[in-house]
Amino acid sequence: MLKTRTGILLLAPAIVLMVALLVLPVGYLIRFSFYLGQTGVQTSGGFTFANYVRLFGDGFYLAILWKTLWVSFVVTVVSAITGYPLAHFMWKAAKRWRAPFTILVLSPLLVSIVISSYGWIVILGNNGVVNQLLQFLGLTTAPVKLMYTNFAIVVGLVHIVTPFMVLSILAALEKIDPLLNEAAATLGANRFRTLWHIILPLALPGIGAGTTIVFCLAISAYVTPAVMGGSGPNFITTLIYHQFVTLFNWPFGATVAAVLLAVALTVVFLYVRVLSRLGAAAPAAR
Amino acid sequence: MTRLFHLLIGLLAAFILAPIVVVVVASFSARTVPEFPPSQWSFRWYEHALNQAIFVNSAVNSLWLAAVATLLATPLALAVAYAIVRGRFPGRDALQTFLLAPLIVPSIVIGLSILLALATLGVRDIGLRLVGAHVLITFPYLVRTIMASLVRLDPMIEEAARTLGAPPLRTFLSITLPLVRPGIIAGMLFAFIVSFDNVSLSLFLTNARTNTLPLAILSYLEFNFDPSIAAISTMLVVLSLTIAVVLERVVGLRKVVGA
Amino acid sequence: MTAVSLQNITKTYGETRAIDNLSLEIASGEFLTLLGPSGCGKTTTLRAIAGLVVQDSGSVKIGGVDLSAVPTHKRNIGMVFQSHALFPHMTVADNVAFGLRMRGMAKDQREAEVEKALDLVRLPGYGSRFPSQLSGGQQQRVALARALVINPSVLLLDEPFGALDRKLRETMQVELRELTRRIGITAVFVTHDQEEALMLSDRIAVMNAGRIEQLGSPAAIFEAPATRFVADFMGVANLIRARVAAVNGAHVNLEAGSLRLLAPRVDGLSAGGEIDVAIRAERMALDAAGMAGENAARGRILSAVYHGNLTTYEIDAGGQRLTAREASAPGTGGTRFRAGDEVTLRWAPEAVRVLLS
Repeated sequence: MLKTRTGILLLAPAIVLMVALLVLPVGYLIRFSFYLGQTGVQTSGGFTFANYVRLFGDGFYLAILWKTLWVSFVVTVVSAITGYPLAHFMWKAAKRWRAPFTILVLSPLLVSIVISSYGWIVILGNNGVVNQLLQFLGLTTAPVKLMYTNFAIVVGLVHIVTPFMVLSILAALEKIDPLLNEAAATLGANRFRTLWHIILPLALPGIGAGTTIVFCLAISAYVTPAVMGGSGPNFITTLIYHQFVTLFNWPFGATVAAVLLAVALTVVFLYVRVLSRLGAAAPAAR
Repeated sequence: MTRLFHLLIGLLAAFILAPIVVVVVASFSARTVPEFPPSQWSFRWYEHALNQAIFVNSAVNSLWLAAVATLLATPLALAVAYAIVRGRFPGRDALQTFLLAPLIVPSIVIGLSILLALATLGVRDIGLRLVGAHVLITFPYLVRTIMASLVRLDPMIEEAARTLGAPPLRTFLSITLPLVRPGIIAGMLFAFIVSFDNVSLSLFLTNARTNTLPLAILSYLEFNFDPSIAAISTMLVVLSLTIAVVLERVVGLRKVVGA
Repeated sequence: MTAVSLQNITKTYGETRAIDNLSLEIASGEFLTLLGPSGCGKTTTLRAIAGLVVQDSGSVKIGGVDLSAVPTHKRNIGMVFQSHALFPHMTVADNVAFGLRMRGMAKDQREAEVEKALDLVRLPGYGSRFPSQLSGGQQQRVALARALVINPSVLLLDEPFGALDRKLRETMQVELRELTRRIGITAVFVTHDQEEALMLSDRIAVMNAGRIEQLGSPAAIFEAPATRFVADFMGVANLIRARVAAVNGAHVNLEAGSLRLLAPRVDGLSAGGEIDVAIRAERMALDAAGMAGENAARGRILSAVYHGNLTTYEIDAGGQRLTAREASAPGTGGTRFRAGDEVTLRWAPEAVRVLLS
């Protein structure tokens, strides 16, 4: 075992880095959100809640907040529904399928978001692959507007978060004793009932972890709403960017960022709470 | 049932691959808008892309940034991973959560905070703030990967070295380090990709002159739609997938991502 | 001469005492086994000798020198681990040479020593292989060569054969016994397997809850367990709580329910006191006929279990449950008696062992 002194020496540089580049700056950002903006780093006046009052009192901003939460919720649900079969397949797949399928499932993570967003434009645009197909099949004469909609954001985000959802669920599935399937079968359960009564409940911790990660990733995504959503601020993140870069109102941007951080931390906190409750109730399930 | 399930898996696989395949195919289009499939084929957009200073310069920036950030974060992460896996001290779990915090805090918030803090301190050097920020976000991935391979290393192997007369540092250098090397390399490759692809952190820390490649592509996309983006993307896809295949062969990709 | 001396060693982990004020002297050239169930502190004790665990109090001396403050790598010990702990990235020769390299030995000399050590464990010519290319038994032999080549003051072995299958384990036990006696090295061996301890050791220390319950030769531990714990751990099937009826001359008369026992007298017994006695199942003789009496009981067979060369009977003797074991009778399908049969049990007074409370 490591001596305590050696341990502290090993940890010190990283802790210094974290404090200097994460804890202090984020703390400063939060402090900053309680002042009124002039331009950039300049503030005016004393400590005030004015930015928060403005954010939560203006229908325009509330609509953006609401839209972010709603779209992220839809993304989370859709990715859980599409992620489960993929995880199940990887769990049961023959060995030779594993490696290529792992790379396939992880590919959205390995290829820049900018690139996949560009790909979606080519697919979903007015002259894109989907619209050409629809017109070729005679289902529509004028192009259907797919790009620059909430639908497009959902498609783009589900694509990006899939690896996280699949890996979380897969991690839970791999903890299941393979003999459980057979045990359920000897007790007369068919495959659907085995899936519903045995496998899904055991996969639940993985689905829980996956939805937490995915929701946090969705609300803090920037590129997808910026490129695939309509013009103007349409998401928390693009609102932050707009305030910082276009309007140069840094304290108000910091306020929006603080709210985003609060939402992310709340979701993680709730997840940890639920997890410890579940853990206390059924220690064997872990 | 099984056939239906496999059809579903096929459709989902197609969904995952669709944007990437479309980009790669469209990059060989000869026209000024990306087409899938192209009506005429050519390499002209590759030539066009490679002749644009903004792409070449930002690609060089991104490569440098990713390399420097990874090289700086690796020893830090190695030290932390070793201390957490081999150490027994109070608050170990809390510390572990704290050190992985850059994964929880939205990276746009991190980028913004660093911009704000450094601007207030008067630090205007773009390289410095980019490197700092990228060290911060590559760090947790490295810690996780290296921890995963350290956990699998039997501590008795290190103890055996010590009973044979090897002092702690010697044990680390000649036993521990060679045995976790695949994990370290995997973590570094993945950290490189994370840094190279990052947008939301760099967003606030770059400017028009010093840019990273993803941001250059993003701003190019605002006003242009020609397939030179597809050409660049294809080159990056090839790079990423090569790294992915290497990782999968060497350590198994899933261990790297750590989920 | 004392090779290893442990004085008042205590080690606690949180609330639990892994080692509780333990003292032990190990003679030079002796093969001593720390025997006990998991969690009894035997491995912690071994690791304290190696310096891999630092005791809270007490001292560890090797060759008369107090090493309590000396780190593992300066203690000159050889250790063999259950998981063999070979360096997977080094060849067999590099593994064996590692300790010599740490001692700054020149390359030529190292190679000669490695060759000698591999000869010693009967693996000549295996030097260029990697550990993963060897069988479990070969890996453990390399680990042994690696630990011996540095000429350690003491050889420490932590359940080295635990991962091997039964047959290979027995071969390795014979080899280890022969090898350690031949080179005359002091060895401390940790195991939970009583048979292994009995066949390998000069002396056995039976451990329980961080203390040594009994220290003695294999025969003494087996024949004359001192405490209920040792008797139970050494597989004594009949542990009987009895009342001292009378003490006379060389014997004591005991009563346990309807059971009447005669045992050799030991000091400190007085009439009316309660004590534990131990009788090994194989010391109980069974007969179809006979009467109850002193060291004899009438009972009914509850079960008869045939396990090859031996058969074990569970008997209800007037409410007292007793176990008898005998050589299986040939040509009778193994068992002489069946469940329900009435039998008489008999045993000699010397078979009754009075235990310390």
